[in-house]
Amino acid sequence: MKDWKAIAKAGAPEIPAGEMDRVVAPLEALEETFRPLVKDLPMDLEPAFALGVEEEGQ
Amino acid sequence: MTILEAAEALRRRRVSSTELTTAALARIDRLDGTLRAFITVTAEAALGRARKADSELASGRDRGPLHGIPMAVKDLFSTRGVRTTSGSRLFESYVPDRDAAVVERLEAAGAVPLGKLNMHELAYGVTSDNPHFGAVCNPWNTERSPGGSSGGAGAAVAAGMVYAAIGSDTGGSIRVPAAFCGTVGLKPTYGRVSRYGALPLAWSLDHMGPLTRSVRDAGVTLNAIAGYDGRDPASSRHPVIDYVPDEGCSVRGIRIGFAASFFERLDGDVELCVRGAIARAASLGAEVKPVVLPDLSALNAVGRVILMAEAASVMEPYRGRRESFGADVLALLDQGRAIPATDYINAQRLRRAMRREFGKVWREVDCLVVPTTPHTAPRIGQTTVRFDGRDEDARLAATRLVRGINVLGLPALSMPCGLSSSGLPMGLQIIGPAFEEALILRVGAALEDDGLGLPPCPM
Repeated sequence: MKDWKAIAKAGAPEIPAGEMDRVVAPLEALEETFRPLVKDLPMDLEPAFALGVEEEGQ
Repeated sequence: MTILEAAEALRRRRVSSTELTTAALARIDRLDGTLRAFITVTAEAALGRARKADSELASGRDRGPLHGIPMAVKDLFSTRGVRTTSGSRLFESYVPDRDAAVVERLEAAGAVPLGKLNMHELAYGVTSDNPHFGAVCNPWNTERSPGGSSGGAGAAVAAGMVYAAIGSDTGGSIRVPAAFCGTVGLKPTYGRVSRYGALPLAWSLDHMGPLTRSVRDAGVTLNAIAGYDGRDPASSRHPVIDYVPDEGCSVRGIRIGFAASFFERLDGDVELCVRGAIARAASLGAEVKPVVLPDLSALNAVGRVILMAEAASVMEPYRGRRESFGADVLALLDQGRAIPATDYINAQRLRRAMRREFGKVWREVDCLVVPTTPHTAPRIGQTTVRFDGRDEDARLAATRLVRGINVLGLPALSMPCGLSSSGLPMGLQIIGPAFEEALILRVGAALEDDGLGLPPCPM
């Protein structure tokens, strides 16, 4: 399990200490479901976002 | 009265757009102190537009079925010269100098805009308990939530303030309020309706669509707002067709998938009601087949990672203004900032794999019929719901059966399918392959024609 408290604090030092549990608890819960899903992703599986270069006239 | 009925009455000169608009404004005046469905009502401009519609119709210029029909849009759609708050203190004084694409298209179709609808702050939540503009109440029971984030849209349509409203749906924000308020709600395919001029919540998950009083009205409204728009990078060039189901349309021969994973941890009334609707479809000639779908909780986890990361990115310019956000939205934005780039990218990779996996189901069936939400509208402020003796976060429960469909970008229609024993609306969801809006609307219309729906809202 990641140290979400440390990650959140590093990314947003402005989060008051009293609000940290509210931020961290859902991330910990989400990681329990998410982490096992990414364990064995094949290298050739590309992300689903796409850049349409023609749209900007490039 | 539905849009199609009002359109018929307008053309037979039984009623004028000015009369429809005056009646709608009177209803807003009478009810909105209780419901808080609107943030801004543009009464004078609406009456001007209605008079114009009347004069155009009288002179033979007919813009189609929305011509002269009172409607409203969620307050995240830019409206030229009209304040557009997105339900946020950040934008409480923002007056755009241009219209969103859907607003332009509604205007071209002759609709009469009555104003801007209340919503969950920044569209980031499902309660519409807005800390800046007040909690929207459910017209079926004002102690209950209308759902969100398009809660004002759901409440306004259900209470008869407008004939249709346009909402946005990033993780269920059209379908959840439609189910809780007893209206129809259509989330079209990703890219089908332009997002131009709408405040983004999460670029790769945002969809725009209508909430209406009937399934055919959803088709009528989609006809007006669908289509390619070069200003939206995700806009699709897929051909636009007529989405309004024919009178007497049938489900005979349509293969409906029954996905057991959508029927876990449900309120008993909801389960009974949706199973009843599926049986009704079978009695009308549909073929019901059990299907096995990819893991719903995995799909939801992927959707939440993408949503949190993209929403935090959208709101990055405002991170120094913590006091401007409500507590729930602020916590979600803080969570989003903590998501590592690798998690976001992996979520998008999983999304591709899941789309591929889910796509196989369309070889077996034409659509899925499942519940929209696992329960009816919770009380305003309620934080948990209980299933099988276990408490579940109310926000996650409400979106559990809808969020994944945004990840897949598929069209989904929510329609009312009955009242619970406590007198609250329940919704079912019809999900189809990409760009098959006409098919899911046809299935919905056939069920509606057969009597599936609700008694009139008591308000």
